[in-house]
Amino acid sequence: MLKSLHLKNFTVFADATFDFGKHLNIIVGENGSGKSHVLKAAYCVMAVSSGGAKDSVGGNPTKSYLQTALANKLRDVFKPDSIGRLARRQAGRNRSEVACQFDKTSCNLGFSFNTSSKSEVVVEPSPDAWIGAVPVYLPTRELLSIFPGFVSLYETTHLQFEETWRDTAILLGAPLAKGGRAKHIRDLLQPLEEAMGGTVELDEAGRFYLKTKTSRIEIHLVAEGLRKLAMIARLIATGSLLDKGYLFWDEPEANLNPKIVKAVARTIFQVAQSGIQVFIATHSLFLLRELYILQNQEFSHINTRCFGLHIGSDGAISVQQGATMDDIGDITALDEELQQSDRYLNTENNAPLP
Amino acid sequence: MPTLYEANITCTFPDGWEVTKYDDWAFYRNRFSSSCCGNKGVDFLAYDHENRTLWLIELKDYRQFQRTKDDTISLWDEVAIKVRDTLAGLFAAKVDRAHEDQPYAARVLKATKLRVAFHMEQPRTHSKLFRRAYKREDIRQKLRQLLKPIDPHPRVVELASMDAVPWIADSHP
Repeated sequence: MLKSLHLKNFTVFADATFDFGKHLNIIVGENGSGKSHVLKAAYCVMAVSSGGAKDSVGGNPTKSYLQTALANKLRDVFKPDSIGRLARRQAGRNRSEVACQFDKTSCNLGFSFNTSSKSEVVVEPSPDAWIGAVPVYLPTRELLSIFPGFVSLYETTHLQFEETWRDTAILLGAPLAKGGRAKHIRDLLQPLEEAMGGTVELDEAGRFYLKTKTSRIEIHLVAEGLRKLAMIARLIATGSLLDKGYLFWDEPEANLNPKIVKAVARTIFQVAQSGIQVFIATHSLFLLRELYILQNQEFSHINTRCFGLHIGSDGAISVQQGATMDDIGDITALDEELQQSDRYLNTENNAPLP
Repeated sequence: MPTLYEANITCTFPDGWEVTKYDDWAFYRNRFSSSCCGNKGVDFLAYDHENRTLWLIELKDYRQFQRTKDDTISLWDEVAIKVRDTLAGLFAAKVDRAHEDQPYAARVLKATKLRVAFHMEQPRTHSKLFRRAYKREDIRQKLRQLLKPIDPHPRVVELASMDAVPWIADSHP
């Protein structure tokens, strides 16, 4: 379990510590407040640490491996011109620090770099052990429609797509899960397949289809929102998600209508309930309310932490965190909705009565 | 049963409750409201002796009266400020013994629980997109944020949906 993430002079953050909950972590903020950066920073550290376990074939972490792997991962996930560009923009030279603390302290991992760093980071503290579980990162966009050939193209050419897309695409291609876990998987898939009106299939040519009772529809012809739902359904069906340790999901609501957001909210809790530590970034009031309703009903046993990112008048980002949505300060989406009510009433008040 | 009337709405409280219109208090009107650069107050105070619970109740009826452009402050901020100022006023009223409302203030400040209720009758709307001008859950969530240390579960009620508050409300034309 990731216990905390400390970001100092990293992208938009001057100095912020996120104390994460065991199950579900909800990061709320308007565009430009750094939500995705929080997810990506934690994902990079965890992807490197879990990848190290595989690359070292049972060996212990070494600083030289971590320094190269972290620098590459940051470059490929954030896509800056140079690593130093990830430092917070301010006058003069600046040192950025990122540190992850885990419940297993031997996995604690931190790194730093300068504004002038081209492609290197300094690892401190260096872990004594790798994290055992792999993280999954779901980007805002669906990937099923670009899946055929995407991974091989990514590996053989220089594409300007974030590496999170490639990492997730690899998982989408995994075979369907069989055996003892199948019932649990069916339970998780049921609300998603109900919302999609069918099941997701992958043919031998690497093309995805939505199979309904009456037909088999090419994924390109399926609505974008449903494709996104199909992506999470596929990750569940293959077991790729459930044997992982962490899910990072950036704006789960993007491109979805409220009916589907309702199903997604349930899936988020079900995945968290399966023992996966979930991190979502959102600015959807509708999703937040669905999560609130579920949290106060059947998922009250799920440990949840909420984080509000606020852009100050000087552009600096401050973080407020707590156990509920009421602990994280103003929620821009709520304030905007209330202000819209005021604007609407002004319109009504000034218009002649019908 | 004790009854109070404000903004076209009559509230009838359970027997044994001690209720008052705070903004009719001489202490509030003549002395406290103008102190500290100005104070506001909620409409009703209702004290439930049995549960030692003090309800601070604000009523707004926008069925007939519009919010005006002079309302420079938002509805939710106005409610929160009224709650805050009323609590300050109650304490001042309790300490100052030279007025008739002192005994009431002294009794209700023995409360072990503070509750806030905002009764709002919505303005009429003519749009399908805005069936109701304000969503009750929006107002409630905003008040929860603003009032958490005072009452983490403020009620937002209306005649059609009183959410099981312990009193009855009726409309008067």
